[in-house]
Amino acid sequence: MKATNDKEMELLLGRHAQRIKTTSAAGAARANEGPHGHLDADEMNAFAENALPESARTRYVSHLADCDSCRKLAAELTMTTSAAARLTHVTNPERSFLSSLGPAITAFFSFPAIRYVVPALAVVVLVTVAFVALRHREQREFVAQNEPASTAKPADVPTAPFQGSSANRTATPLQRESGQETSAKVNPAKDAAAEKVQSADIKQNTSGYAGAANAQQPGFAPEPNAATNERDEKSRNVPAAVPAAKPEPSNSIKLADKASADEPAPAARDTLAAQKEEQFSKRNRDAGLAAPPKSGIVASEVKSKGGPRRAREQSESEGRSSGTAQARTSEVSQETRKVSGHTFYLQNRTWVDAAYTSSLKLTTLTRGSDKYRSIVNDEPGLRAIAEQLGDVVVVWNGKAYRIH
Amino acid sequence: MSKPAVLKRTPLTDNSEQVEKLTVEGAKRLLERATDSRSLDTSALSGRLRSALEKYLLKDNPRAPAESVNKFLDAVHADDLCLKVACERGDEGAWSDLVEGHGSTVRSAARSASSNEDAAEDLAQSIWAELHGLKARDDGSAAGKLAYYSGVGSLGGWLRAVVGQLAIDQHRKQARFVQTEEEPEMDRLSRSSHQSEQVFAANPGLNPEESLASERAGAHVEQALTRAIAELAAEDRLLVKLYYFDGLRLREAGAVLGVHEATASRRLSRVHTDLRQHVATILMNEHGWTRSETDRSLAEVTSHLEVDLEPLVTAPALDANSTGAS
Repeated sequence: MKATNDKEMELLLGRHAQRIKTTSAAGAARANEGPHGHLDADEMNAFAENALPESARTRYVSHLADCDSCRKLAAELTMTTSAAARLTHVTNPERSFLSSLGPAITAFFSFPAIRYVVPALAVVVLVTVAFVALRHREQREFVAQNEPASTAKPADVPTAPFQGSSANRTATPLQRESGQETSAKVNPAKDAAAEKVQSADIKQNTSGYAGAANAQQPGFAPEPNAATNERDEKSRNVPAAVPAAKPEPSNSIKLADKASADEPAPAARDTLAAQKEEQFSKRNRDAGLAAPPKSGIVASEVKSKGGPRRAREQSESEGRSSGTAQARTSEVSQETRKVSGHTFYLQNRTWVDAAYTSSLKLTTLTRGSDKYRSIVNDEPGLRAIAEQLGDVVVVWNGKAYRIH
Repeated sequence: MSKPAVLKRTPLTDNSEQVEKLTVEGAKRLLERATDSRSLDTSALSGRLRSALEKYLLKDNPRAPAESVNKFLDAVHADDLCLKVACERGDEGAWSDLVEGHGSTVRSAARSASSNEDAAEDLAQSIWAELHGLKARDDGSAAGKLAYYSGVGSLGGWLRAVVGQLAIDQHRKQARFVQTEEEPEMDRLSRSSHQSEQVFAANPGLNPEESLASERAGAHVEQALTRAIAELAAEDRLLVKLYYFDGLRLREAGAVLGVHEATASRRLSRVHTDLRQHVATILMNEHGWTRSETDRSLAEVTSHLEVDLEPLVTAPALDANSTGAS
């Protein structure tokens, strides 16, 4: 009610002022002398500068209320004065800030409308933020996300992964298996520390299979410093590794240092790794590894059979990340994606579901085909996967699909 | 602690001797305060301080306590007052200081008060002539323009006020000169009344009888409003005039009143309530309206105003154009 009254009076007064103006313009209300006569310049200035005692001020106020010309001049002078005052205030920022803070807040909340609008706005903003955040969380599952590069990944993923960027290599199954360790290192790994340890693996694996005898002995000097450094670097990547990593100056660490020192350029490492691979795969074949999909596991089992020393070393270098020091765990610095709760690894330009095993029968779906549509339409999660990844092998409701 | 305060606050008996004493002391403090006292002594200043005191404090409150007398005297612009007195005494250095220090102030004030550069130059020249005129006469105490400066406000502000008033005077003289040709104004008046008729005619849904009644009601409201405004307290009336008549913003109106925008806003809101009550009282007492009738017709008039707002706003613009043309 008060607001409407305000509006009412505002309109009425506006019209009233308009009328008075038109009549006074016609000369009717001209020379409107106030009760005390016009203000002289000194009074005017003292008023504008607010330098008057209260009682005198009141006297002039009543004249100004009734005398148009005096009022206009007084208003003009006040504007000039306050503009000048503002300028001097600028040179005095702290005071002006503090003194203006209180009134500014009061002014902010002074209008009745604003008093309610501000809290209302705040509520609206809050609700919007909450809504967006919740929706975002809902949607996130369906959006492809790159996982952090260095994650511990169980090695029992059947199809030997990590061809990745080294896809130019023709990947025979065996090569791929042997690549399980090496390709990760050959790949431009993002983490230098991880790479170092990985390259230690190369050296070690090679020595384990090919020239174990000479690789074993030479560097068996306990080097606590090197060991700690290595561990530190490692634990920065995988914090969980810290408890598992026993302070054990092993020759593998020594070798790790050596290996990384020995390899000046990635290209050189590449050829080196390729050699190692060859040897490795030969060993594997010799060991009678038959079924390619299972060979990942077998290979690591074979490795663990390589002797207690090797097992220990492996758990040192590989198993640190898992904390449980399983020989079957290998560290991955590899691009993975997560869509609709499924994790995918890139191999041969195909995203392969982590849940996929070769025992599952693959159904091939071509995008755009009727079959594809009929399956995908009922499954938004599957659709999200199909739409966001290129060629993909996905396990959905116990069935494996290859979508391309 | 409270006792001396009480003693201090005891009003002065209408004792001009005591006021004189306070004034001389104030003059002494003023000279100490001034960065350049221009080799003046207390006797040169006390007379002027005394008259300022009479004008601004003792006139309203002859028995002002010593406290407020001292407060008043200590707020006087020491350097400006010294400069002014020195000028009046024919101090050449003071004069050149005045011209140098305030020439730009006078020029900018003249420029903002005049329509063009030539008029501004003329105005500034006539100001300096008036200020100088008294120096040529060479009788320091004589009432020249500069003598009116009391030191209560700043000298620069006073000069701006002088320029402004001179501009208004000149404008008045010109206006009186031009006033003979009132015909276009009459024309305009008749046309604007014509327009308001058109507004009513263009208002559909109102038969002539109704529109006549509502017009009469509107006239009553208008009358009551005029009276209610006239009977407002001076501060409130000034606020209404500044805001509605002069079209100042709330912040500006507040500055004129020496209050913050928020205070001005609150005050305006209260004035609205007061005015409405007053208008309603007048309507009920003098026109025999009932409360509900008053509320209804106020709302009605307002709603008409809302509809008519556009013609009302555009009409003066048209007028301004026609005056500019003539």
